[in-house]
Amino acid sequence: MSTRLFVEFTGGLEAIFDNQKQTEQHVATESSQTPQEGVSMRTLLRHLGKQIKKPQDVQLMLAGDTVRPGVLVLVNETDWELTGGIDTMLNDGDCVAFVSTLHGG
Amino acid sequence: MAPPLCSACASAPAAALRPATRTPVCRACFIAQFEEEVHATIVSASLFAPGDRVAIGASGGKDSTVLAYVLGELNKRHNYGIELLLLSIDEGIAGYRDDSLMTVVQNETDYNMPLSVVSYKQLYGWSMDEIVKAVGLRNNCTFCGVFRRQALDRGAELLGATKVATGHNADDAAETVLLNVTRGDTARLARCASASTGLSGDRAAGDEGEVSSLPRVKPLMRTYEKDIVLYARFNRLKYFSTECTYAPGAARGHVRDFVKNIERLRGDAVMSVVGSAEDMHVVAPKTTAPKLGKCRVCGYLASRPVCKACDLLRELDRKLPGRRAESASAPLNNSEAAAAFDARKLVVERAGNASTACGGGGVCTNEVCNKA
Ligand SMILES: [Zn+2]
Ligand SMILES: [Zn+2]
Repeated sequence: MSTRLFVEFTGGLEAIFDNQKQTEQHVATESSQTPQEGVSMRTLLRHLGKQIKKPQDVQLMLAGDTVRPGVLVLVNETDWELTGGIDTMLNDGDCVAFVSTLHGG
Repeated sequence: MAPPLCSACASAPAAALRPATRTPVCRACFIAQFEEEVHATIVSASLFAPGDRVAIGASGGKDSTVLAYVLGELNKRHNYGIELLLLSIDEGIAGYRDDSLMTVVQNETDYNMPLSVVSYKQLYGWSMDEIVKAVGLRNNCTFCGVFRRQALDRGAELLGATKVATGHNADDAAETVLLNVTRGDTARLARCASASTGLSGDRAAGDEGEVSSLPRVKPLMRTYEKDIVLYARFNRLKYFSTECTYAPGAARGHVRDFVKNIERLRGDAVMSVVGSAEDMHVVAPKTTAPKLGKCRVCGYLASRPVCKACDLLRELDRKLPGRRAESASAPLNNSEAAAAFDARKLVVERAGNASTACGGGGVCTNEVCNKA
């Protein structure tokens, strides 16, 4: 089973995903979760980390099991700091935006 | 989990956690708070006076885009009675500045503020692409920094501006404070945390000690980077976020990470760093106060016999003798610059180039292009 998510990269992060800004991701449900529960943000980050082609680019978005400080995450246009951060549960059709604040000025 | 209710209106679900106070607010309250906080900075630091003609240093990036938009809103709402102009510097970096200028062109229409562009090529006879060819990738940011600061001033003077506004934010300021602490540079520490330089009649001196002919104001000085990015997103402001082709990007890397990390631990830490520098009242050593005169070569305001820009231009001439056959390199003097100052034509030319650069095939990363 997998969960279908709309994932956006912006603020410069698109550069590490082949310049794709809007993507559709099918994230495999973890064995500990039922399909109705969806997937956690932790799982999505692991899923996305694997798609970054250049190893040196990973640190531009990720640090440890979360995002690098300075990268904002919005779940359906709400700050993920209000929805549970890395433990936020995502369901079919949810929109997740990763916005870097680190670029330009 | 569902977000909590907004701490301000208690009626809508919160959309953002304010970084400084860690309070949850809904989208409408976020926008209202953000704007009133910038207004409070402007009022408390007396950044503007009625009749001011303010040149906004517009790069197309998030900070200056938000600055232009929010100043436009506040000027209307609070009747500042100021005139707002967009001023962009074209460093001459193909594929980088061309694309970001497109964003500024869009801002001109969207925010209804006249846009002007001055280029390094116009003022100094060299584009950054040419400079990098001559000096390589070492020190190129030194050239760019010195030229940009002077170019912004000269452009603003040509526009008849009374002040220059830049988009420096609280995170930038905290980084600069910490960098100056690590360098033991107390003279710069004292002024880098201020929301303005040169307002009280003294000549403006910047973070790096250069002199400016016009007062500089930083209305976003107390605004967190996170809030700026969220404000841009909630208002659907278009900005450009590609890294400069030539910036190694690592210059401020460690300090930048440090600032973002202390922000995670303690939201108010970023403003506290800035506030600490403001409160310290460092007495700068007397010997460092620059005596101001005119540059012997270009005649522009300088704290030394020859200004930094002319110094750098001489260095370029030594690397590539004969590069400027007409004369030794010197920035245009003001009347020459004014003659060369055909800003609109330049913008239109650049915009034309940029839109055909990707062939309209949809692979271009430029938001303006993709939208078209
Ligand atoms: Zn509210
Ligand atoms: Zn000079």
